[in-house]
Amino acid sequence: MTIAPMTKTELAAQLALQGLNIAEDDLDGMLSMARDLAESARSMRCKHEYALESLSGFSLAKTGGCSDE
Amino acid sequence: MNELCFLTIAEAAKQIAARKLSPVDLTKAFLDRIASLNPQLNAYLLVLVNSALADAKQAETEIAAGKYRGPLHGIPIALKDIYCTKGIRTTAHSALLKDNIPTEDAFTRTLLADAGAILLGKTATWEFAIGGTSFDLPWPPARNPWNTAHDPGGSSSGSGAAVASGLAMAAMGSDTGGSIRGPSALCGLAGIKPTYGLVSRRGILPLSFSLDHAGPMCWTAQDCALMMSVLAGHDPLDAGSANVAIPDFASINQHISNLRIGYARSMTEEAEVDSDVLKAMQAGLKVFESLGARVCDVELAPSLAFADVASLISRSESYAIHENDLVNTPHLFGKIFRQRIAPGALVRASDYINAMRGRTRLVGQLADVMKSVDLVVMPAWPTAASKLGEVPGMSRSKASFMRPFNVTGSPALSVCNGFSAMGLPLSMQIVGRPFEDHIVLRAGHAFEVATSFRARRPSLEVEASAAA
Repeated sequence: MTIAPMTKTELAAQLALQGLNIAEDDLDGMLSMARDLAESARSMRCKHEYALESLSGFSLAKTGGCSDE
Repeated sequence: MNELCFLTIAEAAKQIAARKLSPVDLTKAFLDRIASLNPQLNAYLLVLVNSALADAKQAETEIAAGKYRGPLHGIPIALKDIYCTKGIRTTAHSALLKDNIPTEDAFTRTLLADAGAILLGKTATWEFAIGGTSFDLPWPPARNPWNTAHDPGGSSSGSGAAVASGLAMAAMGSDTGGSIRGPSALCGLAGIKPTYGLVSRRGILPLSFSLDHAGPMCWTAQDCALMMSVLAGHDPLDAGSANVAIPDFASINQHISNLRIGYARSMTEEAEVDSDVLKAMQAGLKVFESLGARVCDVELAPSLAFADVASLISRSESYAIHENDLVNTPHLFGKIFRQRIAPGALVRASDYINAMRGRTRLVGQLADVMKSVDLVVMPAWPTAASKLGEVPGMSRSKASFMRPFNVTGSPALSVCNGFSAMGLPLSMQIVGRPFEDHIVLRAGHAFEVATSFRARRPSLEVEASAAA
């Protein structure tokens, strides 16, 4: 989400592009959630530095997906 | 008969092993109590009367023949209704799966059955473990046994209500952002979110692949250790499962005078925490000191850093799981579920990847902190239980003491550390290094033995007779 949706209409339009047909009644609660997510994403981008970081979340060494042997 | 339902697993197991307690009598006591109290608690979505009695009879026959399997043999337990049970309805508390009959058991269900545990039934949950306390689902939400006008927390709401009220000796929960520890805290239980990878999630309906954990909810930390000794282990068919040495859960009786305990003071004091929660926390630190542990303050990354990472990861992964059904049959979900999951459609791949990179940084920062301490403690929940359905919604600015340890995958335990002025349980969280779940449980057990909070139970009988 590049820009946080500011209105329910904007949010409905963004979700419709993803194939989601959202009822008007659902949009209020969704709007604050979507704004929070956009802010979280912005915060992550701000923290980004071109450090030597590897993508986490998947380790073959410690999981059963592949033996160490 | 109710006295039987308030035994701990450790107490009941001793009597069962000595053939002084019949698994059939024990199971009947629980089934009778469920029949009496479940209508006001809604803890169970499904009660398995016939199969529970049949399993109890088998346990009794085996034990009489000298084939005792261990401390869970003949112990009545429950499963959150996202644990798949072969041939037994598994709904995720959702209309979408109201007629779902799995063809396979969750791996943990198999482990517990092999250990001789008796499955009493399937417990209420927030819809797909995230939908919040909802009133637009096919079944009503569970209620808090300490005061049925209050919320038991979620998402393992029925598991929390069942164990606290003596409707099961233990129950399995799942924890993606606090769903074992939250209801354990608000219902006054011991509940552990094990280290990520220590307990298999295979056959448990997922919410967020890299944040989901499965674990037990019990009356005591000692009972959690007994459950964990059966549950922990490598499962090659769970991609997140760790192939590591199993922690020594039998060691939880050891003293804690050699432990260094860090209090996450700044994280606690930055949050909006009730004064009685803070008082209970301070008193809990003194208990640890009286047991010989060294207590100091530690500083963790701000709650918001964890919140940003957790929400981007969980919403992305949850949406990936539920996209097809949200697009095609949104009306089969409750409103809160739709509101929480649909915005995940808008998170970009780069946002998700940045969140995973942020996660790596946070894992490293916590590991650095835990070079100087063995455990970190803080309140588990900032308040006592709210009124039913009034649990604060998920928001970026609302600090969570639990979500950080889904991000880091650390073992984390809720233990009861007091009661509010209204008589509702308060709770402390004990966090350890990865795969040191036994040390977390050792501290929890020592705390429970040194305090008197395990002697108090909800007084539902009074409420039941008043209603009659």
